[in-house]
Amino acid sequence: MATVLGDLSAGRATSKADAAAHPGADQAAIDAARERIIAVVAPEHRQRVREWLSHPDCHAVEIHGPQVSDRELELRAGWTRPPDHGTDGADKWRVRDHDHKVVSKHRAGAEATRFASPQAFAHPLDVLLTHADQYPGGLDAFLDDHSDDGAVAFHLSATSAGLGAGDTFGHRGAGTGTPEAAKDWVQVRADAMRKADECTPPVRTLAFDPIDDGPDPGIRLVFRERPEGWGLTTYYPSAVPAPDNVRLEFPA
Amino acid sequence: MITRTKAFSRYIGTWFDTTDSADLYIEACERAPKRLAEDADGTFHAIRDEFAAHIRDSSNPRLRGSTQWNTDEWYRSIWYDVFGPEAPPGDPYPVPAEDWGSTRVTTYMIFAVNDEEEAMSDGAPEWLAARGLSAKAVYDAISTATQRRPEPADYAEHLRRATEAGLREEG
Repeated sequence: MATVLGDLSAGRATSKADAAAHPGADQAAIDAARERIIAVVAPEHRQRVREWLSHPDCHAVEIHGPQVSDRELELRAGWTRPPDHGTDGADKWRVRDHDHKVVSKHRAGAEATRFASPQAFAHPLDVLLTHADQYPGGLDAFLDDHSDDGAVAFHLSATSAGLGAGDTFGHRGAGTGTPEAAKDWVQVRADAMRKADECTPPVRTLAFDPIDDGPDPGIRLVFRERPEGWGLTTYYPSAVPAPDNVRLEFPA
Repeated sequence: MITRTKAFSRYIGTWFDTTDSADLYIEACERAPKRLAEDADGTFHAIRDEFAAHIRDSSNPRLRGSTQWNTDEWYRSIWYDVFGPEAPPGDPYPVPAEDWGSTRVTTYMIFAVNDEEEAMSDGAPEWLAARGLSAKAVYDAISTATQRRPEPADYAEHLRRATEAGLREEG
């Protein structure tokens, strides 16, 4: 993302007041999105995907589902406000009345992304499950063999995932083109969140298409081992693989 | 050259990316003491030793869009967040102990430490105590710490020597 070095002054700033005033999420809309996703998963994978996406520790639909609005992504990147804010399982993000500090345990990074449609959300899961079914020992062995301490993170390339331009959308911090710049941006945001009242300098975000704009795009999938077995915990479009991320490249 | 083992690569690749969320990063930092204590087969100690060796030899692959020096620095900050205030053995450019939490803030500090208990990670008090830091001092440092250590004058020479000795790949 060499182009983003010059985009510090680009993008748009939102205010804490904007973030605080944004209406809460509708649980029924989240549940409906989950059903639309499950409905387009291949029949042989449907039950498993339903279990994954319905588990209370999985926030993939809540945070990255197609029901999440552009504005909710902008406010997540800008002020760490979770897109499922106001629902039972969500972080209690708030702007405190007396000093306007943001108080939250939603540890959002500099990018907030979503799948644009139920199909875009469902298809990479089908790709992964089809591949894992063919792995010696099946899905559990596939996850065991790539894990560290009960967790595993994959980068499924956009090509393998079958996703292209328009299938994903996001907001990211402006001027976050290098790891150092991204960390600085997150620090400025943390400072702004902790300052009383509105802040300067404003933290700006830009809309982007993680798959179309990313230099090595794909989907990041994180699984955790629970007492009852492996489950998906998070799942989102990503412009680049993380350092040392296990890459999955499957022939189409 | 120290081979980048699959175990080390999995460790880095699983826990330390914060592009979307810092939850896994924070968990890895808070779990490390327990993993070291319960490491009967030595696998986590081996990861720690390899971590130190890659910092010593500047043998981590450069992060995308970054320099080797800034890559080394990224790993130094993770080392501090995970293993604590003692610099990795053999580090040719150890961070002065007093910098941490004053002029140099880490990803853990930014995301997990707060002056409000409500916004602080559950493991943060223990994490801070192990490093001799106070939540208030770290919280204040987030507003003021803007320094990034510049590449040392002899760094190119360090890279050249490490490359010639076969401790790292060229580039």
